[in-house]
Amino acid sequence: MSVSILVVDDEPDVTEMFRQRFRREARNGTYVMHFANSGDAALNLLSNGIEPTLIVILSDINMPEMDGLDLLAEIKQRWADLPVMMVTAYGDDQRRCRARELGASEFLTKPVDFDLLKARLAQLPRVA
Amino acid sequence: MQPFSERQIELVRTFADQAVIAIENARLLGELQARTHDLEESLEYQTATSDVLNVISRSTADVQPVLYTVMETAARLCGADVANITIREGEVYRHVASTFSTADPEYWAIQRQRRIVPGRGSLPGRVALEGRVVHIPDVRADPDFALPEVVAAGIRTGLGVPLLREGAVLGTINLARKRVEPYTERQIELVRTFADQAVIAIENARLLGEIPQRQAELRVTFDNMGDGVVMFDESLHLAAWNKNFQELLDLPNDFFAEPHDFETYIRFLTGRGEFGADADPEAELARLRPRFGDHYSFERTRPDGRIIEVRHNPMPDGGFVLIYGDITERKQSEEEIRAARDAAEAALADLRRAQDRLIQSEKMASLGQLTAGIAHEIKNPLNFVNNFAGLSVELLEELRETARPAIATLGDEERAELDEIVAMLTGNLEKIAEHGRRADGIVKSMLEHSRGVSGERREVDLNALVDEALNLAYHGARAQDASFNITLERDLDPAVAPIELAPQEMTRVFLNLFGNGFYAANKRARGNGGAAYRPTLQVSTRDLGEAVEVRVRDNGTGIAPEIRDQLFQPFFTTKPTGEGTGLGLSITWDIVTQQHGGSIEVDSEPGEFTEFTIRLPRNGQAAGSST
Repeated sequence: MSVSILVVDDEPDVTEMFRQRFRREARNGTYVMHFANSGDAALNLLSNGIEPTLIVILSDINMPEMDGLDLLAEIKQRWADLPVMMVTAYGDDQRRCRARELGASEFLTKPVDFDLLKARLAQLPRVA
Repeated sequence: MQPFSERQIELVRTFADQAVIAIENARLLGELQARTHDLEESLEYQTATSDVLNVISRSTADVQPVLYTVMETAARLCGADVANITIREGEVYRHVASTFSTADPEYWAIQRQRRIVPGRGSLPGRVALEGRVVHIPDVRADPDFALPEVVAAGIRTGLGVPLLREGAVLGTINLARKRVEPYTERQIELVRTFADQAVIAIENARLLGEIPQRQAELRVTFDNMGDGVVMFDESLHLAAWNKNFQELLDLPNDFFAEPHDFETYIRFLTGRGEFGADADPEAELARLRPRFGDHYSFERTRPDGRIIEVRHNPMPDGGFVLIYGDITERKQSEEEIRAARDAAEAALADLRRAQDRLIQSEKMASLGQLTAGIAHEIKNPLNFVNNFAGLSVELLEELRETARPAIATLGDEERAELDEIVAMLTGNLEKIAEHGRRADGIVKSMLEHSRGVSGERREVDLNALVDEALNLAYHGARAQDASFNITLERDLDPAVAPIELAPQEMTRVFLNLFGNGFYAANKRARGNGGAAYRPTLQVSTRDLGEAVEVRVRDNGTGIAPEIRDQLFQPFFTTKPTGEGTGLGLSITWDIVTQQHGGSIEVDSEPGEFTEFTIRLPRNGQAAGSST
């Protein structure tokens, strides 16, 4: 049974990279990849309902307008049980703490270690 | 008519002749008498003048007898009934001599009080005003004469003569007759002569009066001179000295009770220990004697520790003057000024050093920020490069897998060509990934600058931290290069009390410094170290109370002075490309100074040693996050 992953990043090449990295998983039906290029776009997708079941959101922190931490807060308010992993190039303690406080389940620094990411994803419960 | 006879005529002629002779005789007699009178008068005048001169020569200091003599003589010789003399006192004239002083003392008392101002109203006033002889034939007929009491006293003809010195009216001689009778030219001339003589007398008295005053002034000046002064005359006898001389040299009053010459004076001083306990008076004199005629000065310290300056000044006619000055205070203040100047110069040098450090600090901080900023900008695209390179390797592998059946159908040559291209592409991508990783490493180091006070602070045992880092660095170096070896010398002060710092950050600092030390020592060992060279790294800690100090010293290649300033700049490295990022010391500097408010200094002798000294204050606050 397929599950969905939502990647939120304002950088278009991130979409391409995730697509390629998860090409096999997408092809064999493990994951369905969804992409949003802003916090608002992500919230829209979430509101409209994502099929198949969304098991995790991967969000960048540095984004124009609504940044990743704001998005995290918003998501945690509306979909409290949905795991959110923060991905950022700025691995400073302040952001790390803030993300943890807001309920992020993971804090990944760029460049993303995709082997590690895939291992983490495999550990996520299949039904949110 | 009977004519006179010849005899008669002869007789009459004779009579006439005799009459002529008689007349002539009478005339001659009259003339003789007049001459005689003139001569008598001249004699009298000359006698009077010489009397006056006598009085002047007798009474040099007191002018009063002279003035009375002049006045009385003039009055007598000119047939004056009253006479007086006035002398100028400031702007007015006062009577100083008068015939009334004996004739009418009561009136004299009044006369003395008069203040005569220059003006035509009185005889002396008019003389003072006009500065020349004034002759009033009859005061009653003079329209300007304004003293009714004088007129009432019966005064008629007046003569006033000025006492002139260099054109200025010093005073007046005044004569008056109680009858109308003008004074003759001779009389006026006589009074004029007396006036001149009176002026000489007054001048003499004035000069004479000034001498004791000058002498007194000189004495006061002499005694009040800051210096001690003593004069030895041409026979070298003690001739004069002042109070300060006696005081400066602590000479007892007894010393001056008997006559002294220079030799007894020097012997006295020597005997009292003035020139030191063992000084020989004869040697002192032998030293001084040849220099009596010279101008010279010297300084010496007295037995009581005071410093005096002695100036020797020969006098033109022999003898000399010694001037003693106490220059202890001057010497002291000179010393103080010198000390103050040295202190000020030292402070200025400190200030310059602090300024240099501050400039360096600013430069580093801005470079650090710039570095971090650049790193941020590079990191994202670099991530893509690395990621896509990695992805492409995988995709290429997939391509080979997918195309395997198709490739199998190809000819050997084409397959080999294909395999080679794929291998080259894979190799290229791996190179991209490898260099990307290297760039990523640099970027990561650069980002350390922007981490600010990231490491949590806690109280740690500095010695343990240093020891741990040293072991870590050593084993790390051994792991990289099995042949690596170095002697470690630890001098960790057990008295170092726990200090609050960011342990992870400081560990990085120590690892950096130890790593650099290892590198330098090893480089020297491989280079011109020689067989006897033993690479050594010394690490010491010390508690300075308000701060702790860590010294890291290696006996490696050392650092050339000209690059010492650049040492802490980001990207500055002496290592070959690829071996060092040039960020180690930059980050070290950042952590020590910015995060811990400490200092880091480097001392080095090229080819000998390099020593880094880190001081961390106990109340070390971060100097500011550089994010």
